[in-house]
Amino acid sequence: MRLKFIIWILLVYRFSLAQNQTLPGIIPSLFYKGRITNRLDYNIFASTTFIPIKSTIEGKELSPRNSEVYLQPGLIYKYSKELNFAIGYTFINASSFSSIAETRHQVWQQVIFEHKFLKGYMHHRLRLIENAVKDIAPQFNYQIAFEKPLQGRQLDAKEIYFTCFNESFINLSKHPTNILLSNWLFVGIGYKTSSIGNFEFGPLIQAYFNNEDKSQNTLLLFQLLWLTDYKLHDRQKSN
Amino acid sequence: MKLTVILFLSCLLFFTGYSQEKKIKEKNVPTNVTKYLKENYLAVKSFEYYQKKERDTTYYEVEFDLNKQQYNLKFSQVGNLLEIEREIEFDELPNTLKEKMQSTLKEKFKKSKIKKVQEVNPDNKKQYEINVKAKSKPNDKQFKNGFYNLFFDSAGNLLSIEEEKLESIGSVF
Repeated sequence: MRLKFIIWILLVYRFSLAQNQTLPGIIPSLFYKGRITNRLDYNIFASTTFIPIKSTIEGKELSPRNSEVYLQPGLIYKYSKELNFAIGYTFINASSFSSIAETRHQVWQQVIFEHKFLKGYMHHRLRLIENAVKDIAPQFNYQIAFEKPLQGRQLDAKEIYFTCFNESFINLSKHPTNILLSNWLFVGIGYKTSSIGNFEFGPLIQAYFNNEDKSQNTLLLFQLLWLTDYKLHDRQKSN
Repeated sequence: MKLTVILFLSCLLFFTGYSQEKKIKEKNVPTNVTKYLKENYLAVKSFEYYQKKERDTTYYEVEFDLNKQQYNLKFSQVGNLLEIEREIEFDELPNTLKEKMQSTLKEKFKKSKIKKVQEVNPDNKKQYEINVKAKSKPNDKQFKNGFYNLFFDSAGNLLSIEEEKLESIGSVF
């Protein structure tokens, strides 16, 4: 009885304070990788989030819209097959849960380590992000990802693979009101084509937390990702 | 959310028909293969079988661990043994062979560290494949700092050197 009462109190407390909002969407993304030398690569990641339904944000009714643009060039140093370092810049223009679009310019540095796991590959990515705007604290992101071919041991062309990642966004300010700013979870299926790179698709859940008003906003997205590289040009020339 | 699940499953079903290598069950492997494994690797508890297509030719590959070593055996479509690939420790090699290989590494690079050694026998000729992380000699135009695969014959003579192409680890967002 006491336990039921505590659970009821917690639920009432949670729902009385929280202004939770969940929106569905589609996120087409592009990842392009180029080689500079055998030790140095560059990449560009771009995505746009589209919310296909009407939504009410801060009292304003908004029609279906493009709510977020993400553009991220980076430079990768390949220390070894298993260990890479990278630096980059991120441009974000977002208005998924606000009526006014917010623009962010970020610079970051990261280390990424990959190892074999359950006959697939797992990587851990640690990224330190500095915001160009002074009043936004730096943040630390940890991404853990897993990829496994589903038809044999190696991923060959015209084969599918399982892919997933979880990324936590941690607030590094001196007096944080909430430590966990956001958490993104993706589970998908990838397909390696014979000539134009890989395609990945699956649900991506982006949860944003705000400890001040105990709210949680969530984007339930369907991600369509095209991963391609410099070999695309070589392949087209040889065709 | 329902739409997401339907899209996801449809794409999965569409693509599962294509494959160059697939994991198969023991019953789908030629009997010559299972017979060979029973005769030569009795101590092995479990085998993994794969059917592979390379340039319109079908092969069978069997993977297993024995004495903490990873084996990969390749068989023809009718089950004849074509190649045995075995990951070994460098220290397992005979001293004369090790010395010859180490002197080759010293000759080619300023410094090198052995990362992986494989014993292979394509066409029944024993060979060794050694993966090293190497530091080049000053002003060396042939080799740079990097990772290399060196192929040696059974007597320890160098057959070829290939620089390993490094691919960056893919991560999005």
